[in-house]
Amino acid sequence: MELGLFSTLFRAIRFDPTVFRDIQLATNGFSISLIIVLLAGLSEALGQSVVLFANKVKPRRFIASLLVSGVIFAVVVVCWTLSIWLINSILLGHGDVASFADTFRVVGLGYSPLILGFFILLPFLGGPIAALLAAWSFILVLFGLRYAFDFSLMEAAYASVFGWLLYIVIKNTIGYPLTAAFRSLKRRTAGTPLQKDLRELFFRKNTKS
Amino acid sequence: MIALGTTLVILVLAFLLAASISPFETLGWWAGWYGDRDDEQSLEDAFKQGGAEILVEPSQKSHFVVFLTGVHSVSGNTYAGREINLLSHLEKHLDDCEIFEVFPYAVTNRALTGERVFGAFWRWAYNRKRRGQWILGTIINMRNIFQVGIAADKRYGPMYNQGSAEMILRGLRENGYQSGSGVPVTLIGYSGGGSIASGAAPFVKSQIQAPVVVISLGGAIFSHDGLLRIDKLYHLIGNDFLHKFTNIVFPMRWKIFAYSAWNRAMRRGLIVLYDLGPATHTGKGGYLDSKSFLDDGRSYFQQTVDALVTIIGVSSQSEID
Repeated sequence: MELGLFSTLFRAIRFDPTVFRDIQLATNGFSISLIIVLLAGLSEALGQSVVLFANKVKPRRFIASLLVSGVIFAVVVVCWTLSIWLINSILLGHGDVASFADTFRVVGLGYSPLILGFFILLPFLGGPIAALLAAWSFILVLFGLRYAFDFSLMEAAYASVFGWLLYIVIKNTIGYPLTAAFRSLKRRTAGTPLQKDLRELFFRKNTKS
Repeated sequence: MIALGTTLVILVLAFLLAASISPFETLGWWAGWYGDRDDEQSLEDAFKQGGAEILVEPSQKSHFVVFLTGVHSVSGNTYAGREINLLSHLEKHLDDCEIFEVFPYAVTNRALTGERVFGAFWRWAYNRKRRGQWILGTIINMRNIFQVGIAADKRYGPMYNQGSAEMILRGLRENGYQSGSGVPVTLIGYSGGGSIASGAAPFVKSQIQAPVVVISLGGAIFSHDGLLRIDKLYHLIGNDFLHKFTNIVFPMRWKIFAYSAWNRAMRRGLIVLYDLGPATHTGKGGYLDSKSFLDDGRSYFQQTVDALVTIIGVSSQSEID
């Protein structure tokens, strides 16, 4: 069985439970999830691109920065998947039910709402939309784990929440060199140090008031 | 029924898409991708370059008044009869004031109908609107309302407001304003123009080092730190739906956020609410309607003119004192 990208996306964002089972069976399930994650990363990077503009990144470097952010986003999703899989296998003992690749298919599909990440650009409503999309994705991952692997609600919640906590711990300990490398890659791609604190950027550098 | 639902979804998505891409003009301008701004240009440059490039005789007027038009506008010269009438009355009553207009809905200082990628579309829309096609008027209004949203957004606001300030500073120089003269400046913003005036005012003040007062005629004033750095904001409101609406959608204006910039400015007396009675935001019965009358016999339009003249007079007087 093969799945279409758009129909899979629409089914996922509408919380269709069967799509999370179908993606396990589809021959192209892994690549569909990977494409969704890359598109979501790109779209979210565009939504958050105000930092690039504010730091006066040139057009070519801007495009390159978006692509790099999309790839880094995918790596982060892979790391979170790894954490969920570890929690599943070690704490919940479901390693036989959900392999790492199976888990990635679910988590990747769970990121479907972030395809709408460019709406974060919306004036005035960008912040709430970013929060909404993040919550939507998180709940969709939890929902997907439950239906793809027949987990109970509590098992799905444990896997996603503790998976996230484990990811945060790894990111700030043994994963720190990777985080630093990503930061450096972003800076080098942009061609300028990226000041993310916009208040600092605008009110110290550009005004005399 | 399905067709209606699909149409609605398409319309909502088109609206969201248009709103999402609306900040790109400001962002691209700020980053130096296009427009007349180079990477390192500052507000000070905008003020000085205006004077260096255009030889203008110094103005002897004792007060400068800048008018920022409402969201219906497509260029720096208002075409709305009621606004033209307002400006001519102000010129008559305030003969010691230099009065000029700025188009507040584009930081690139380009009219919608000017040299733009979609300039031809906006010229067409503008002509159709003048012939009474309301839907095109609505599209122009929406486009400009998005710009007000950009000015109110914490991410884009500082860029947009500095851009607006640069236009105002350039306008001041081109109209003979002398740096260091201390001559007070009043920014009158109608509707969305009021919001943008309040955002630009602190940046203008930082450059001219003179009193800057904002008069918002039914503006959608958002809470931002700049409100604490201007001399006074007179918020003229009648029975205005926009004021009621913004009281709800701008949470930082809610009283429970006592330490928001809006509430602090209110407590310090920097924001003065000025009641225009039963006048509404626009159209028949609006602030600029000369055919609706108060109990004292004055038209709503005359009431607005009187308020503006009084406030500008007070602003000039306090400077002299």
